[in-house]
Amino acid sequence: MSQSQKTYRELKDELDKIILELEANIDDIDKAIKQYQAAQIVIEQMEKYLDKTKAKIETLKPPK
Amino acid sequence: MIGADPTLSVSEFVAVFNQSLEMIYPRVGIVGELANFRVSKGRWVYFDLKDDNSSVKFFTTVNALPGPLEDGLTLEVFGQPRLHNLYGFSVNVDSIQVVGEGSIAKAQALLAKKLETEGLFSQDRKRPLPYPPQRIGLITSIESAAYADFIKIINARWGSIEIQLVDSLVQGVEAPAQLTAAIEYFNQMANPPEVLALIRGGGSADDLAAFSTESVVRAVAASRVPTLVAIGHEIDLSLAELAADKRASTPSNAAELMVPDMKTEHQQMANLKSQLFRIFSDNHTAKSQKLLDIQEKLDEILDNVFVQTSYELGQKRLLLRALNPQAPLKRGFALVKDSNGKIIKTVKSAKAAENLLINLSDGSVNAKVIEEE
Repeated sequence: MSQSQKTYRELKDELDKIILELEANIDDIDKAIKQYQAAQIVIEQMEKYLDKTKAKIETLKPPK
Repeated sequence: MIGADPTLSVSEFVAVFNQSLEMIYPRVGIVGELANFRVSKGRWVYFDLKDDNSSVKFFTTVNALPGPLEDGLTLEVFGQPRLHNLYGFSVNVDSIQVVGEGSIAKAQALLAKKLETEGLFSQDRKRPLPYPPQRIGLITSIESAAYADFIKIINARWGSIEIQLVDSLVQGVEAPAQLTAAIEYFNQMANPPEVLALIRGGGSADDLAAFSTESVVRAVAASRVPTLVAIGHEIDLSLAELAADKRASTPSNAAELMVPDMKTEHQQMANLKSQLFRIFSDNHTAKSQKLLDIQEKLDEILDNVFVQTSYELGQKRLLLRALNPQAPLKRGFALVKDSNGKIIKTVKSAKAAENLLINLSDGSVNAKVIEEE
C-alpha cells in the first residue's frame, strides 16, 4: 500500500513506530538517517491529509 | 199510470233510490264526530258520524283509514250515499280526513304510538344523506313558496345540482295519495335520485295533516332513497319528519342542510390553506434552526478535532527534528567514515583506516590520517 492510500490513523501509527526506532537506533547513524528521512515522508503525507480534510470541511460548512 | 204514485218492489225501490242519490249526490263530504267505530274481521270498518241532532252510518275498509281512529274525533269523510238492500242506508267511504286541531293532534298521537311501537322512528334506521348530492328528488307543490325558497337557496349555496320535481298536493284529502305516489315513483326509478326532499311551508294543523297520515309516514319510512322532510315552521313536527332519515325545521333549512355554502367552503379552504402553510412554515423554520444548531455544533467539534490533530502533528515534527541525526553537522560537527562506510569513532580506528570520508553539513570530503595528535 502506498503512503497516499493509507488512512491518517495508519500514517500516525507508522510515524510513532519510526520515531520509537529512531530513538533506539540514534547511535547507528546511517540507519538513523534513513529512518529520519522515512519519518519526514510520513509527516508530509499526514500534513497533506490534514490539508485535504480541512478543505473538505470548509466546503461542507453553510455560507455565513 | 201517469200522475199516480209509483208502486215499486223493495228491490226496485232500492235501485231507483240509489240512482236518484247518485244523480243528486255522486260524491258528498260530511263532517262530524266519530262514534261507534269498529273494525270487523280486520278488514271491514263501520262507524257513525254525528252532530247534536243527527247520526249517519258509514262503511269502508281499513285501507281507507288515515290511521288509528277512536270515537270522539272529528272527521271529514267523502263518499257515496247508498241504500243497501239488506242493511239500510250508509255512506260508502272514499276518503277520511281527521279535521280540527284537537282531533288532528289526538289522531296523530294514536298513530305516532302505533308507528313508534313498530320502530319506524328508531334512530337506528336513520341513514346519512349524501353531502352534497348530485341529484335531488323533490316532492312539493310547484306553486308553493316552499318550492321557490328551496330552489333559490340550493342554487345560491351550491348550484349545479339536478333537481327532479314531482308536483304534488301538499294539503287536503287528496294529498296523502299524491305524496305517497310521488315517493313510490322515485323509488321505482331505475336510476333514482340520491335523496328525496319532501317539503311544505307553514299552515294550520289541518293543512299539515297529510304529512302525518299513516300512508305517507309509511312511504317515507319504506323509501330506499334516503329522505329529508321539512314541513311547516320550526315548531311544527309531522310524523313524516320523525320517519325521515333527516328532518329540517323549514324548507329553507332543508336546502341549507342538503348542500354546503360554496362561499363558506371556499373561505374555509382558504383558511385551511393558510393554516397549513403557517404550520409548514413554522415547522420548517424550527427544523431549519435546529439543523443550523447541529451544523454549528458539528463544525465546532470538527474544528476542535482538527486543531487538536494539527497540534499533535506539530509536536511530532518537533520531536523528529530533535532526533535528526544530521543536525549536529550544522553545528560544526563532522561524521567520519572509513572507505567501507563504517563510522570512525576513535583515533585508533582512524589510524587503521587508509582513507577517510568526512561528512560535513553541506557535503563530504576525502582525507588521510597524517599524524596523531
